[in-house]
Amino acid sequence: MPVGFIILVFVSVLILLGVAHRVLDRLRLTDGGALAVIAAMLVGTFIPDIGITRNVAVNVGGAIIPVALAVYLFIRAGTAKERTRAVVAALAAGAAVYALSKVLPAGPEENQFMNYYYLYAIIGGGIAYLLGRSRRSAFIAGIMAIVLSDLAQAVVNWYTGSPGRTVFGGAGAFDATVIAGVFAVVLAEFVGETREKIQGGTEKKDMAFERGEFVQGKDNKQRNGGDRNEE
Amino acid sequence: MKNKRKAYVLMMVALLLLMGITVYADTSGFEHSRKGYYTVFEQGTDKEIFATSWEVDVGDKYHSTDNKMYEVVEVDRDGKKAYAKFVEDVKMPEIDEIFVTETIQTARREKHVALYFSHNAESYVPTDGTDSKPGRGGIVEVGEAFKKGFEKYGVKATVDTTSHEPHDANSYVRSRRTAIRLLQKGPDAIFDIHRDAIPKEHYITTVNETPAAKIRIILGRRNQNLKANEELARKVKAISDKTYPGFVRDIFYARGNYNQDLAPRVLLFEFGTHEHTRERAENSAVIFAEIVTKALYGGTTAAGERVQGEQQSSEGTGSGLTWLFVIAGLGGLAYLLLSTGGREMFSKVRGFAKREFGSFLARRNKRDGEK
Repeated sequence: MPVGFIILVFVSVLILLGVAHRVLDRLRLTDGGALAVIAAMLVGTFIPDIGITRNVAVNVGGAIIPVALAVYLFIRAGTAKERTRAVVAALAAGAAVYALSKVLPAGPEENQFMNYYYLYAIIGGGIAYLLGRSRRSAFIAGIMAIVLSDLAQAVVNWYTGSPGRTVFGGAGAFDATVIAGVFAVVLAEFVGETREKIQGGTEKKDMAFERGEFVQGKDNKQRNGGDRNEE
Repeated sequence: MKNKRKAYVLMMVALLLLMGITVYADTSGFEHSRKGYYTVFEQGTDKEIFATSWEVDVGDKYHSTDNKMYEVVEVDRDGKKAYAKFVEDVKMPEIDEIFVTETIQTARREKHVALYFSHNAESYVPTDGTDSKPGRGGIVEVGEAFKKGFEKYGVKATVDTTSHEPHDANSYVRSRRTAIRLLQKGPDAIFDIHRDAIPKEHYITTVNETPAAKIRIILGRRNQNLKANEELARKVKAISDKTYPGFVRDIFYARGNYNQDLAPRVLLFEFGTHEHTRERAENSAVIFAEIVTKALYGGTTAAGERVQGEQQSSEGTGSGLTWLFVIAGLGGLAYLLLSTGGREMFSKVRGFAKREFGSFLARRNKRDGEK
């Protein structure tokens, strides 16, 4: 491949991973932790898919790592309420993506506004945000939206004897699964910041940020501007 | 609290219902099919320019058989008609007359392309008995013929026959996974093989007295690799124009990306349409392999002069990079403006630079100080 094209591919990948890193950075991961996850997804992309049945397989970088991260975020969620919201958002987004894949036109050229990956991110992020205004829920919902809709399709394929193959997260770091998860958070962030701007500042200015969460009534010297909208 | 719980329950019921309907739709054989096709006319003269089963949108571009560029300006969805205006004559790449008649064996390393089928059920009615054969449609046999054609010219072709059924909005989400798997094998180009769904009169032709089907190249308008892919598409058409005029009938720039965002030199080809025999498309595939091989790898003129193929060219890189930087820059700027604004924005940018490049700047400052 000529050098120019190598640069083009390299920059494309770098921008996507750069966005992903900034997103993970805001999900209760440290800078180093976020980088490790990105590296794992990238390396995992190149590990051969793990076959489950003849027509079902799973990719390490595109499914196992992002789902593991979603599970980690779920377990680390502060309250039972947040966990419930995350589960409901994930199920709702999964169902919506599956339903949309049947209702939307089959050709990408027929979609008026954007590629479907971004549309699915909007659905995941949108549902999670409506339910709980949480970036973590948005990430979980974005990832699980694609995983669950793939799962539904795999079950339908198995039931109908369809030859269609399902490879969860098969495109690795470039799969709709990762793109939906990352851009769901970007969307939540944009919506959150817009709301904040409209209302003329954060509602949480008197709260303190402690161990990844806002806490009421504490000294606010630990306040962290980046997570003002976090629940 | 009670109201919230009620809302959750209602939501879940609605979702289960939605799931039920869609599963029913899936299992009862409901499938998207392109109903009808568009005819596109020249604005002002009402002269027919082309027809396509692809959805046509305002802003789509069309590179015609006689190398004229049109842009769609009006679409009548109910009437399946569209109007396009003439934009310019396309400046085609110069192709050496002698080179295109030469057999080439010039690349130093292994020549390798990869083929896959986003819609691998697509079939040809007169031969396959139907226009869609789930699992392995007639289009896969066309891909196999394409592979044989490449092998004739010393190019290794990897064919991936993975089924991305059903033919729904997620077909390309699934075929993206196949495309990534193929890219990992390091091919020089990858091609998504399709067939059109318009009357056969638009596609049937004869090449060297062999019944064949014309070929259409599809370019996705929505990705950073458009210019690079356009270069290859134009080179392919230019070589075809010299060797078998009209065989590569046109290039359609459609909305969507068709996995072309993954890498440069990822193209989508339409081998004829569903109404003619599959043999026509298979014949075309063998002929087309020669053209694509020359476009990719170049060749040598009779005088021994090397003619560069697209394999060595980086054209289109600058435009792709600009596209990426503009999108990333605009996104970043919009976020900064939203989240901060005014003085806070500058302070954040300074803070970011200090944080991210702090150690680098500190080293530099120290060095300057030592001087």
